[in-house]
Amino acid sequence: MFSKVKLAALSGLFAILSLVAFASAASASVFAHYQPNLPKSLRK
Amino acid sequence: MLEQLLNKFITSQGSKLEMDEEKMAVANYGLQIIVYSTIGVILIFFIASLLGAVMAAFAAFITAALLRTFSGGAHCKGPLKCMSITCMVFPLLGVISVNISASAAAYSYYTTGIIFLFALLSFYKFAPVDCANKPITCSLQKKQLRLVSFSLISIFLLLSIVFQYRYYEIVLAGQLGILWQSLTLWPLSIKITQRYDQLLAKN
Repeated sequence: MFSKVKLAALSGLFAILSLVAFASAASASVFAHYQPNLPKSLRK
Repeated sequence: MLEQLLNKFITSQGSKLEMDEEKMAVANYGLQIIVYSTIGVILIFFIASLLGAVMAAFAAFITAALLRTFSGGAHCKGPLKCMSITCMVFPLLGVISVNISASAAAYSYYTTGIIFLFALLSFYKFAPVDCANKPITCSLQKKQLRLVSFSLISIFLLLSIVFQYRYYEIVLAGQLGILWQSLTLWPLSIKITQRYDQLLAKN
């Protein structure tokens, strides 16, 4: 039971992280601070 | 070091979800953005509160950050280098604004005019400015980013005019943020940033 909840939480976290990455990919740059290397799949 | 730590976290947790490398790279990119931005904002808050200019520093930061999202600009090669500049500049802009706003209020129309003219010129000539870590290759995206940048500048100009009598300190800080962001678009700023990178790499 606990491992299922943990897995679901982890999936949710990764979904949020991916959403942030996709949203940022459409911009010219990160809104401030360091610009990490854009992954190949997010490059147009 | 922080980059490696984040990468390790994503790899270990992503493998539990049986994710492929590209999906993990995307999640890692998202995590880096969140972590660096959060640390940066906390540091700006901390330094600005020590200097007594939190509101003004955040006015400058938010204005510049919004514009930077669509216009890009010079970036350092490492997170610490980039963060060190940001965390010095915005509290400093806040302090400048707090200290000169009373005396500069009499010339507010001139400062507003000069800053926005300079911003429009910089954006017209250079925006959007990409960097090696995030190249902009699509011409349509470039056009859209330029359009949003100009729209934001126009909105900020309108807000400046409306609020400059009531909240001049904050308005001035925002204008200094716009000035800073405009300066980061110029090729000279990119060269200075590269020099700063080299200088820190040597030490």
